[in-house]
Amino acid sequence: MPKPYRDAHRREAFEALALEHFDALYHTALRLTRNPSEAEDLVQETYLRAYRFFHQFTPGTNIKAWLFTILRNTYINAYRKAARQHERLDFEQVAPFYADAGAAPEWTDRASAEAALRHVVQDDVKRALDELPEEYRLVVLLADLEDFSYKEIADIVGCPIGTVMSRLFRGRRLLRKSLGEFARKAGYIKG
Amino acid sequence: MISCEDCQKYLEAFLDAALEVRETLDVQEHLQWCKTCADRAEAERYVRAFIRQQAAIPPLPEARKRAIIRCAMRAAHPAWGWLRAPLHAREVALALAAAAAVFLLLLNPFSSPVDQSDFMQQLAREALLTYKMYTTEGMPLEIASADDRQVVAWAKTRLASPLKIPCITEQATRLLGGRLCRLLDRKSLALVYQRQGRHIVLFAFKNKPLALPRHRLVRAGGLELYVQTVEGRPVALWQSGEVTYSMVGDLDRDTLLHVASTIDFR
Repeated sequence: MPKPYRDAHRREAFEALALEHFDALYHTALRLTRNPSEAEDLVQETYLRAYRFFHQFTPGTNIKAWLFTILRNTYINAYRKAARQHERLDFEQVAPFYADAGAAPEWTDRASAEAALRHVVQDDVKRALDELPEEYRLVVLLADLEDFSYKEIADIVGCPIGTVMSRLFRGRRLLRKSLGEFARKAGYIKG
Repeated sequence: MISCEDCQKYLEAFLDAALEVRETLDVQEHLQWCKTCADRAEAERYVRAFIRQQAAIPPLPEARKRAIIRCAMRAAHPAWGWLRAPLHAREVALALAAAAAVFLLLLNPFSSPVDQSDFMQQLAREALLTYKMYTTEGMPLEIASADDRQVVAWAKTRLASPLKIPCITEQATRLLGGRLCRLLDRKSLALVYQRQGRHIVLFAFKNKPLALPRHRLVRAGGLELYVQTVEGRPVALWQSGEVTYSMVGDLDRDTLLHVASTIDFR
């Protein structure tokens, strides 16, 4: 079994790994904080905590998931303290699992999806992501932009896999609904 | 053979590569003969790719990434490195610390209140690190303006709780703008100034009142400053009510005190 990094190699190893995952962390931090300077600070704080505990990290295990877990916890603890009280609602408990699903646009083939999204611009997509409720947003970001598996997301977010799946399903539906509305407002689809 | 209803039920997990082998093969088989479901799967693939492509953001410059990482690493073990030393060294350090604490408690050699020198040192160190990162590595400002009224108005919208904003009024010093940062895990305001080509950063954040060591305070205008030297550079710290302020720049101690004496609060 690989041993934790020795002091002599610790610094170089950390710097290389940190650089490798910087873009992914920054991207998620930006979508969580919605503010570039706060995103940079969140990433810096994540690396600070990661480096502090790097001696406990075992080489060869999933460092990307480990860094994202720290990012998520740092965000919750440091950036969302004030709002955390309002985040305790379990959406799965208070709303039916498939609620809103019917409101999302049904694209039955690639041509209909392309036609609807042709005039949805980059800012619309970013705004639609930013407007997702936080619990859905993180799960959608981790799955659709960072390619984490359900199990990895469950570990990062700290919830069961079933909860990840339901949040992902609802988050994706809400995202598509927003994109459909952006397209409709632009007058490119009827409805 | 699975039904269209089952295929739709499993489609999302199938596209996420989250199904077991058997279910994966079942869905694959269904998609081969059912055009309706295959079309839906293709639409979903397209939408996912579209979102991924449109949500992409340009990466930060390599130098800035490295600056953020280095800064985090430097800040990770600023004052506690001795704790990771071999056991005998740690024991010696702890014994010395305990002896010093007993000495202070029993003999009370200072008449002033107990200070928070660890906190002050940490704060001064972080202020200097942040200053270096923002100035030498070219970190972006959230608001770029020489108009202090504009910057103060921005700061008041960005801070959850109101605080008195410090502004340098010296003629030779020009405001560049501001941004938010984190100092000692607290959301802090950072105002960036320039004086004769050199940068000065003023920090302000909400904090419980500090007991500054009165015998070490220096007067600068209407302020009483605690000046901590870090890496040979003076860092000014002071407290007003529940707000802690810090100022650091590429300045010598006398100039720092002079500039501080011109600070006005808005």
